[in-house]
Amino acid sequence: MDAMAEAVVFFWLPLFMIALGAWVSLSSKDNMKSNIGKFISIIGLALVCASPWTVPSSPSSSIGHLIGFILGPSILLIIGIYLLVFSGNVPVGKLPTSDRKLGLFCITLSMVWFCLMQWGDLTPMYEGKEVNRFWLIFFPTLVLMICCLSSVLSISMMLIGEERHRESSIMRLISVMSMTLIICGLTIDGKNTSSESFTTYFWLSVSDLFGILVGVSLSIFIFGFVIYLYERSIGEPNSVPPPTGDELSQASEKIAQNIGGVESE
Amino acid sequence: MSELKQTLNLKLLFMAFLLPIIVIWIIDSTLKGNFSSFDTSDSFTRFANAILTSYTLGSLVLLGNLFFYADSRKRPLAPLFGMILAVLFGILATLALIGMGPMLLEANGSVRAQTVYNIGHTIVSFLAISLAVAVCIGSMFATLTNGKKRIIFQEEE
Repeated sequence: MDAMAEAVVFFWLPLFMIALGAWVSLSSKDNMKSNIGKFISIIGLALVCASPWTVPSSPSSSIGHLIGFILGPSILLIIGIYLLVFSGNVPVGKLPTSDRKLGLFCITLSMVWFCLMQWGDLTPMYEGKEVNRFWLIFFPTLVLMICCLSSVLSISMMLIGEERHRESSIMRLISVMSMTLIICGLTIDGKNTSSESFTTYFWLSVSDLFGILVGVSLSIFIFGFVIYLYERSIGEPNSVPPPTGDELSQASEKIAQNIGGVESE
Repeated sequence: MSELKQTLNLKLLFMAFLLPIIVIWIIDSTLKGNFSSFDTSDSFTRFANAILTSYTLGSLVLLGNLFFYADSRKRPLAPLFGMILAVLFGILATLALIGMGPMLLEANGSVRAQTVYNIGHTIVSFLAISLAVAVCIGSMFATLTNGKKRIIFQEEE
């Protein structure tokens, strides 16, 4: 098998399996089909993570290498947020209040883990020689997006919510913390990454973010336009004939059965 | 009046998105002593590649989404055909623009290598954006649920 075919079979096909599994799992109402979808996704994810061993010659396998590296801190982060949200005042699925501390611990640990990947010894080194170039894309995009989005959420809480000053200032704090991380990245060299390469990739990720926003907005606009054109072409629906006497009496019977009741005290 | 307020709110939210980037740019420029620590040519190349790839991948995802729409409309072919055309347009535009010369090639030797790199780059960016959205929305809900319990409606006397 040549290198191209190997990359297709051992990397791109499993990557497609993740998307296909997620689509099957989300779109089917049947439990069996949904479980099959999840199973396909998990198999695909395992194969993508194994791609540095199955197709070491393909540059695409560095994506699998990166996913393998970020899986741990990402899962920890999501678990931490879940614990933090559901240990508060929620009407359903409330967790014990003690889980709040555990959630905070998970989030702190995952952030320390990410920082050690950037500045410490845990940097994803592809083939043990050089820093995985997709890590240089992932980390700046992650912190930049957290910084911008938390700033937006902080303002939106002030605009939309009432008396949300405390919540708004917490979101602002998250924005400032991620901004501090970015400034550290721009100025402090890590063990394996330099501040210069972080600067280059950070500004590229800003361009990337705006490009993605424009591209996705354009595709949504085209989608809406296609639907609009189709809906306009099918014309007005045929009007139904007025109800007959029988239908009216049946309707009034149903209404009479369902109105009334006892007034609340 | 309410429309004016809505427009103003949207502008404020857009400014809130841009503000951190502007602040970082000012701090970076102050620390390094120059105003152009980023290469505008490289940034433009990345911007253009990101638009083309995310448009094509986004259209492809929305094409899949049309199956849900078709379920409620007796499976019409016209919108499906329209979205297939939109996806094809994205693919052809990507290949044509990358193939035009070194303008959209980022340290990749061929159109195929650049296209594969673009897809990989978009997947990684999408992962980072998704994780950031989960962190921010999750943190927002955490602040809301961990605050004091509020009385939404006053009991009727």
